[in-house]
Amino acid sequence: MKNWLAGIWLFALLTVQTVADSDEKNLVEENTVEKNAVEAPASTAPAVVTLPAASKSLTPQSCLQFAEFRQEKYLTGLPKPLVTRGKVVVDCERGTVWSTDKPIRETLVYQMDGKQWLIKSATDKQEIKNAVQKRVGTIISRIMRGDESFINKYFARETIENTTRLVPSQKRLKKYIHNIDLQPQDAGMRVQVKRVDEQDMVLELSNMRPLTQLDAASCATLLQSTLGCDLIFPSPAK
Amino acid sequence: MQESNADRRVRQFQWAIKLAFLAATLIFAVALIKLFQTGLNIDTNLRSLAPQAAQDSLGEQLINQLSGAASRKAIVVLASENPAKVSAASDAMRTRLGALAEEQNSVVRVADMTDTVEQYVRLLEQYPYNFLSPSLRPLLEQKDDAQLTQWVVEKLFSGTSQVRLTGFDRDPFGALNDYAFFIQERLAGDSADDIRSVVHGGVEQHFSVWQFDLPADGMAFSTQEIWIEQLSHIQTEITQQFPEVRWLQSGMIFFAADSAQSAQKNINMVSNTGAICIILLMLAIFRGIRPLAGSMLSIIGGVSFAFVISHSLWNSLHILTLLFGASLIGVAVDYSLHLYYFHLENKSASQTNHRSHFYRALLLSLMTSIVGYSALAMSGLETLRQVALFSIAGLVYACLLVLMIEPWSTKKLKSHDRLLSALTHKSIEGLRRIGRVPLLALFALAVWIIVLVLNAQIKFDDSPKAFIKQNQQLFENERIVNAWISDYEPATFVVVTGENVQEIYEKIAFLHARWGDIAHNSAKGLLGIDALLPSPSEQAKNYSLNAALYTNQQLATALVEDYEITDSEHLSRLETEYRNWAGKILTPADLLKDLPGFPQLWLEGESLVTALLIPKNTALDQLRNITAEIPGVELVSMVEQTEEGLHHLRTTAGYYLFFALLLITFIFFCRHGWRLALILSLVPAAVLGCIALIYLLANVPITLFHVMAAFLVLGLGVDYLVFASEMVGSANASNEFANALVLSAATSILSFGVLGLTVLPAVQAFGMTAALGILGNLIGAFWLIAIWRNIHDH
Repeated sequence: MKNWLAGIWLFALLTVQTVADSDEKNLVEENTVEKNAVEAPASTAPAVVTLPAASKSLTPQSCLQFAEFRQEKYLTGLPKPLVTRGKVVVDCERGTVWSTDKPIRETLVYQMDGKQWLIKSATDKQEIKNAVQKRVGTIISRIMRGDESFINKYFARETIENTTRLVPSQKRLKKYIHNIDLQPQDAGMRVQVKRVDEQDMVLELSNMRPLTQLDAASCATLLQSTLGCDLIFPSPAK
Repeated sequence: MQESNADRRVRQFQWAIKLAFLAATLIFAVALIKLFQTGLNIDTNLRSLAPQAAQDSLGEQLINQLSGAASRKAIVVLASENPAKVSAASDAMRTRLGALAEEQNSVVRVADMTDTVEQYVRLLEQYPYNFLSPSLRPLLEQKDDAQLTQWVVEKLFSGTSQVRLTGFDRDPFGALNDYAFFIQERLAGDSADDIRSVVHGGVEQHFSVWQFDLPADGMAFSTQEIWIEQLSHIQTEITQQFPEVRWLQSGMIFFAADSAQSAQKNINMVSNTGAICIILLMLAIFRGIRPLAGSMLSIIGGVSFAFVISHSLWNSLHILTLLFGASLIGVAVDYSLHLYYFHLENKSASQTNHRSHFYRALLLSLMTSIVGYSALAMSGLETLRQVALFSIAGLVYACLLVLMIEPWSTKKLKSHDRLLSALTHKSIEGLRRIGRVPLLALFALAVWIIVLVLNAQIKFDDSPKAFIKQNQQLFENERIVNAWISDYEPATFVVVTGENVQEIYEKIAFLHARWGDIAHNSAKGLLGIDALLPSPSEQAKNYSLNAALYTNQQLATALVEDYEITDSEHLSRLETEYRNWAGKILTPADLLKDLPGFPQLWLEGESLVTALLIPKNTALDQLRNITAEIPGVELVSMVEQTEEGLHHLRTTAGYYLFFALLLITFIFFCRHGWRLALILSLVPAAVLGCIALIYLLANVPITLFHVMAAFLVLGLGVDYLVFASEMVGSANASNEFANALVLSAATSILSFGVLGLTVLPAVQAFGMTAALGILGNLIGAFWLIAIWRNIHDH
């Protein structure tokens, strides 16, 4: 009987193919989500930024933040790290604008809907689609904006002295990341991503401060560049 | 006392039976040993029915491996109007799958190309100058040192370059790394991390996609069952926990499992009912275990012999052979029934003459069946030849077994069939009113005239879909998933053949250019080897273009002095290596040999062949027209090939059915002369015509299974006719032997006719035709008996 059923199986196998011949091609009317314009950010009460340290929560107490950064990137086969500097603004409800000043000028935008952009100039804006690049960007930006649910979903926390260590809880992430250490510093924070392939990254955030309000204009002022701010804070006309 | 001629003939026949049985059993034993050594192999590929499918074995092999790989893919989509629900359900799914992966007997695995991409990058590093991403190539062509320097520096310091796939030491300019990211993006499937959206039926739907790779033996039933069971557990948990989230699934395994499940339940129920009824009937008539056991032994022995002999000759058995061969039961059981009634009728009579008569009838019945099935062997199709040999071997051995165990099975044989005898008598007497040869001839003629006149209106269906019960829910799921996510056709490919690698790439490039003009809006194009590996000429050109990096002094200065990333010694070493590069080319064969996880799109033999995957929802007719314009490029649809194969088989079997009837008529002619031969042949001809007419009137499309069942009908019909003419139709014969025919028909209907009640179209077609044929044959045999009686009375 089982052998006989193998025949039926094969018929089934071949029949699936024919489904594609059906003319239900209008099923997908569009493939993108039109998001409504994001409402103006709620004015958040200013607060002293208490970095996570040994606390249970990683979430910054202010939804709106500004910081300067210095990043070291260790690449396989490169004897010393590549260092970049710049500024970052975080709106926990809208996204993150990551503006590099030195040695190159570029802006990375991490939107709340998951879209990520690389902007080199006013006329050169590319959506980041590569899965690896997106995944790395997602992890950094979510941690930056203190996305508790994301952190809890993918990481287990350990506390070592004044450092909060995030250890991947899922097998897939463990293949790439050993751990992420978050260590508070004066008006800042040190983030170290230890990767399995030893392409580590150290991010030093300094001059970190909460913001009372953030819009396209103030974002541009803080970053000294308009690039990217319009994606997170679209003007009312848009 | 001198031995009479009849006695001698009977004795010689019995010796011959013993010798034949011994020889057959010896062959059986040898073949059985061979089967144990080689193992069981059942061929389920319907495409092997198509004679043209085997023309290009390399292309065939390639298509088989690609479709095999496609059949081992499955997709689950979690969808809801509420994105938060999808996200939560996806998290639960991820957790559950993670836990399952840790279990020892887990077979459900999420598709993951990570390791393959890693291997690919390591392979690319052995050919550091051969690959360029489409974005870098124009820059290198322009040879603008300043622009190239900027590109390299930006790539090094960019926030998007948090991760490099290639080592800095070997690839300081990041050209190969850029290509590796480009190819990784192309290979990476849909990630379950992303919650995507579509508008479906005017409502925005959010969904996550889960792709699974079935194990290598995913086609095996045992693996399939475990896989479905494990996934079903997760499905139950997710759908119970998140009732708002829809669980949609796509993949052949779901159809296979559904078909197998419904087939198993339905056929088991129907066939078990039939088997119980047969046993009860045999017990009711003969009131003993011996006759029942004797019949069963001959059936089991016959089918086993046929199975083992056919398998040892072909080293495998086609699924169609098994299905059709199993119908031997219907014919084989007749031999024992005829034997029992022969014994019952001749208990007190001097048996030698009658026995001689019976043996003759049995031999004639066997011969006509053999000749009928031999017609199939002449079709030239391997599958039909196998069916023919299976049937002939099975019938011969069953017949020998019946005769060998005769003394045991007929011991103390009694029948309790008074009711049956009364019914038989009344039926024959009733038919005597029309028991005239001209009426039978007129009837057969009328039936066939009507069939031929209405021939154009007879419907045929050679689609594989006609054989299975379609689960509408699964089809709907399949449609939705196909529309929402982009994937490739599992059984339709563009096959490109050529003499060398470059020639194939040129053909593919031409195809892309032509197809691109038409399908420029298509989000996903044809996926071929060119997407995974540049052509030899392109690789050589890429090497030349790399000179703009390796001999770029401005770039060297920037890296060494401005950014202090490396030293000049490192760069000059790399420049020397570049200049001394031997121009090694990575070929598709070498690529795929080292990367089993890649789609195996390339095969090499006497010629080279490659296949391109076609995105679902592609306009296949347009694509076919384009491929027809390019020599060595062909659109191959497995479904169409199978359909062609089934059509060919059905029409060929139809012709050979007619041929078999002619051969049987010839045997009747040799035995009875032309007049009687014609009369005898009228019955199966009329029965087959009636079946065709019934299907025509009932608007039932005729499939291969209807035609294959017609061979069974012919075999049974001839069997009835032989015994009707030899044992019942002769002068002074009683109606007792007609009871054997009724009982034979009853067991056949309970064996196969009941299959007509199943919900599976293929089985239903076979069963329905068999039931109609058996009934028709019985009526035809009685009609003939009535005709003999009328002739004798006059």
